[in-house]
Amino acid sequence: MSENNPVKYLADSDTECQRCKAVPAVLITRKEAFCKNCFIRFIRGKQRKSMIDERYKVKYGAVQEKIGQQKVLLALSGGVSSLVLTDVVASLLQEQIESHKGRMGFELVLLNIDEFELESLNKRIEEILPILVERYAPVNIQYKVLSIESFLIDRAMIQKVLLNKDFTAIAQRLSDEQNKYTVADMLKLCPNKSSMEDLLTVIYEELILRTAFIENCETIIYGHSMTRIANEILALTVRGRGSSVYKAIADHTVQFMDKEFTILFPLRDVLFAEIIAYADLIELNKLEVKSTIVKSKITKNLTIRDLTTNYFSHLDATGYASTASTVVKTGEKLGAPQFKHSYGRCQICGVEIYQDPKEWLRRITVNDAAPIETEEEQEYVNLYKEALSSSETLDTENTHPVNICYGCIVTLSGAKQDTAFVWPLKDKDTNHEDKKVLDEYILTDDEE
Amino acid sequence: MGFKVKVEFLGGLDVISNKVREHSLKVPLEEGEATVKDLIELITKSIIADPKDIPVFIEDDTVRPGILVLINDTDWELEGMEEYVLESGDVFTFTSTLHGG
Amino acid sequence: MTEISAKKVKVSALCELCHARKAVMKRPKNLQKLCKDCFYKVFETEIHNTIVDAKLFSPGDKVAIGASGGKDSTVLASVLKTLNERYDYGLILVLLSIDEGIKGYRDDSLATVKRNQVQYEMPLEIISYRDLYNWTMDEIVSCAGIRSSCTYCGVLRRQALDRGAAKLGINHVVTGHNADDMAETVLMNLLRGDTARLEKSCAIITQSAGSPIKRSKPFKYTYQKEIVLYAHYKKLDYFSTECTYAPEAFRGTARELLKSLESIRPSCIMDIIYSGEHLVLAPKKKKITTSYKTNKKKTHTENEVNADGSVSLGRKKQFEDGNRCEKCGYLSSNRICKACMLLAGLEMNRAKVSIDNNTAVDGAAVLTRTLEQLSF
Repeated sequence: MSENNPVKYLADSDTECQRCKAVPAVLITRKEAFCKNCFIRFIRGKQRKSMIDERYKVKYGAVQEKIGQQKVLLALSGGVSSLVLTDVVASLLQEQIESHKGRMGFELVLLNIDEFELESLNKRIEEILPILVERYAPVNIQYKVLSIESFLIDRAMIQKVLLNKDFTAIAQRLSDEQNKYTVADMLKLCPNKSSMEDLLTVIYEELILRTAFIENCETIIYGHSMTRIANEILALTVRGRGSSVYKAIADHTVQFMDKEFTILFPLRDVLFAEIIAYADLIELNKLEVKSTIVKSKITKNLTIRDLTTNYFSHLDATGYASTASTVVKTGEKLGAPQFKHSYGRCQICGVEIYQDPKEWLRRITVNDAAPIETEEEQEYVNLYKEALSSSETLDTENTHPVNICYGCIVTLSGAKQDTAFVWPLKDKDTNHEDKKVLDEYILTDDEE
Repeated sequence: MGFKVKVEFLGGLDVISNKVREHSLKVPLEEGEATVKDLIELITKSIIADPKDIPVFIEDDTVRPGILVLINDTDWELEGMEEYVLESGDVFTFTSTLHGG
Repeated sequence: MTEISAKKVKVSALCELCHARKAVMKRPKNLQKLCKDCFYKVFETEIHNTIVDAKLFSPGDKVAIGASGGKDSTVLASVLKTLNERYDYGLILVLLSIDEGIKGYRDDSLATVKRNQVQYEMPLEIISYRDLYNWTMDEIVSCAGIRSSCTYCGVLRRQALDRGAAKLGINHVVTGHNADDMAETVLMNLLRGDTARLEKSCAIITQSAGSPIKRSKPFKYTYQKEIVLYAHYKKLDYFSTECTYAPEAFRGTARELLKSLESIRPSCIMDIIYSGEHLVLAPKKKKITTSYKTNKKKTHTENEVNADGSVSLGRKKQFEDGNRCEKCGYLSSNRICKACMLLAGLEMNRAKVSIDNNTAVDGAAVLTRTLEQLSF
């Protein structure tokens, strides 16, 4: 791996930094030798280019009045990429304060969704957050830690969901005594690890959007590296969510609760290896929050994202490192699928459905039996019927159809009939939570 | 002690066994003790001609994805896969699905 | 066809569709356990549905089956024969094989196709690279190297199939490309950034510009595993050895990834195809594209063919329908067809090889013919 690492470290070399030509270089990336300062400036420049909009600059007078004070929400997992993004953005704010007499172009809010239990993290995010924001004084950075449980804001939305053989989904409301599910419980009902991974993405996105809404943040930024974005494109494609690729990875806007949010990936041009190098150089790596779970080497125990992640690191090691950049460029060229009809929105994950997934699957999956020909065969059918009637059949009363997308059908398939699958279902047409409910969420949620 | 089973390599997989498609294999264990897991190990030891070809057949200690396994003509996924207990006279068919269309 | 087994079948081991026979296989699509009879039924009916939904055929059509002797095309020939009779498609089916000239590989597989000809009672036409291009694949590889063998072979086979079909008065070639191949193509186009092909990667019918021959893939939604099982249970006679010139290394990595993914989620083949049908280029950027860029796009498709850089023949005119290649006279969207461009590059290399090393790489025949060419 080291041999083919896109970033090559130079230990006390004679190579001169090609940018400032003043001091020795510490590393080579993209065929260019950088000293520490020039490399840091190079990476910071990537972010500045992506947030060049007037909104993020220090504004005065009429412009300030027109645009208003901007707030930017940074999704901070505590992993190295989001730490580097925090550093890059906070250092921009520091510079703004210095050169504009204490004024900043925008306020920065860090949002962490607590994964301590879920990922068996090596430390609690609360341990590093004060140290992290301290680094950038006098910039005032707010932070907020949300439990994954805050995804549930209205128990009444929780329903039992079942996938039929003909790929239709039905849901059943739960009685109060049945409805004791926590988010962690719901995730445990996932048929497999990849399904859980898929739904966690849904939860995170939703929590981030809600927080942006509540905190009045117009912009949401993610620390995804180029490698990570490429990985995301591949993983979405594999999970049957190809229709989301175009918006999941490009800088774009999202409508949520009648407000528009800008989603940016300021490190989209930065390789993961460069992010690691940056973190090393400014000693951010000691703050990194890591999972203590050792990834299995056995394919069967891995998730789809694990496999695509391994694939890209394998490509890096075998000399196809440019693949990530190719995939990202390809993803950026994609647009919204063009279909005549829309089938509303998915009540589980909220995406727009372009091509009826039930119909698509039914067309390619025949469920007709071949005729029964012998007496012996008929006997077996009778035996089967006897066995069937003695076992409890599922109570399908009081069910109603649910609109779900292809990706969610895939995620649900394999869910056991008896335990089924439980999820807070959204409205098929609006894809919004009740505003009143979200207001409550604002009142009750106070975890800062 | 020991009993015999039949092992077949189809779909081009015979490249790992000097182009021999059918093998009669003596399992040096009691009937009822040996599972497909043991069979796989036995195959790598006694049938695969060149140790370099083992990864063509095995990955993560089991049959590599892309190789279809049939036990007495039934998909091994219905027979408990690696856990299936071998019986005398069983036929194990390994077919590569990857080779030329 | 029923098999009476001595042992009683447990209810839990019965087929999930008929509940009357022992299940023998598990479908990767939906993890259903099926008996042989129900498997044949759903396998064949799904292909029939695909054919009907995509309106692939009309009564009286003459259709060429691109037959390699491998599992996919053998099963295709068998299933199309079955469906044609069962549903009265009214098709005239012909086997069309290409002899690329690969010793030890194509010789044996052609023998299989010849047996298929008898088994399925279909006429067989064999078109050879040697007759068509005056090159065999073995010669091409010895000249251009093994790395680009698939590129050459792909282009030449495409045209050879077209010409074979044209010779037989047929304008529709069906190929055995299956769902796994489709999914692999979607991944490959993403990984290689082939946006021009990305949108079309899941098309069931394709037709290249300038060609009167359309191609289709009735196995678009059919799993490789099921094709192999069908061939196995039906005891179809197919040939299975990898081409001597193994696929390009990068494609190999995508194939490995796909197989690993399939082992944790068998439906992923279908999932990728569903995704692939939703991958479209943004219309906004298309509008920006000027006519200059449109030209450039076309150039790109051609450049892609000769990725090794061996060929770069002048600029091409805009495509006009009914154009013919100036070299070989076959229909082409450009002044010189792709096959001729590749071959022209090879001729130059062939000359170089014979000068660089006096001993020919693959026997005296190559060298002799090289010199013959040079004397012109």
